[in-house]
Amino acid sequence: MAFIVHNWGLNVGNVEIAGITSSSVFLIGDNEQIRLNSYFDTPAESLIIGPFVPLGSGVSGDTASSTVETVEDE
Amino acid sequence: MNKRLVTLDDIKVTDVVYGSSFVIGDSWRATPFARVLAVQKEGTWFEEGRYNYEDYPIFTRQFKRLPPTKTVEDIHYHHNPTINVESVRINGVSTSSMIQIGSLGILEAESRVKHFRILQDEQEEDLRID
Repeated sequence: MAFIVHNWGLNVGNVEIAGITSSSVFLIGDNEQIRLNSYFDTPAESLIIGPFVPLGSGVSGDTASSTVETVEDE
Repeated sequence: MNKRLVTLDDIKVTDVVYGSSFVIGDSWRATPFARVLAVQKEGTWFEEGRYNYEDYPIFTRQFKRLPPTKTVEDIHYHHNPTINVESVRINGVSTSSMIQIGSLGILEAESRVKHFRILQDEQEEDLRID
């Protein structure tokens, strides 16, 4: 198998990002390999503060069915 | 693979915290990691040394690795030697994350965050109110 890529050109205007957190990356350039791992444990009674909105699996617009489940460490 | 150059006119990054980095230029390999015990406690005093990484399995458990796959021969033709970006605005980068303007060979990042909420006994509070 031959995997051939033609990069004809890349021009970007303005980029605005609120946050890059917990093993994330913002890269302008070429790369060979990326591996990002993250474990996160939070108790159920914790407050949710910040721009990260919990996404439910329900139909779009049905925000009432959105739930967040946390699992305790074994 | 030949790496392209980057031309960037303007960048503003406000916060780089907790094992994160902001790199201008090329790098070969980066392996940032962060272990965080985030304690939010109700009350006026805080005991130091009460929280240890060894007490929580989240800090020792292995990350799942992807099974090795067949390698594919790849050829990249860069018809334009530069990536052009006008401006970048980033509020914050945190917990073993990375911003790089330039090429990066290998990135292996790890983060482990354990949150605690220690609340005062609600029953006790109720009695006081009565």
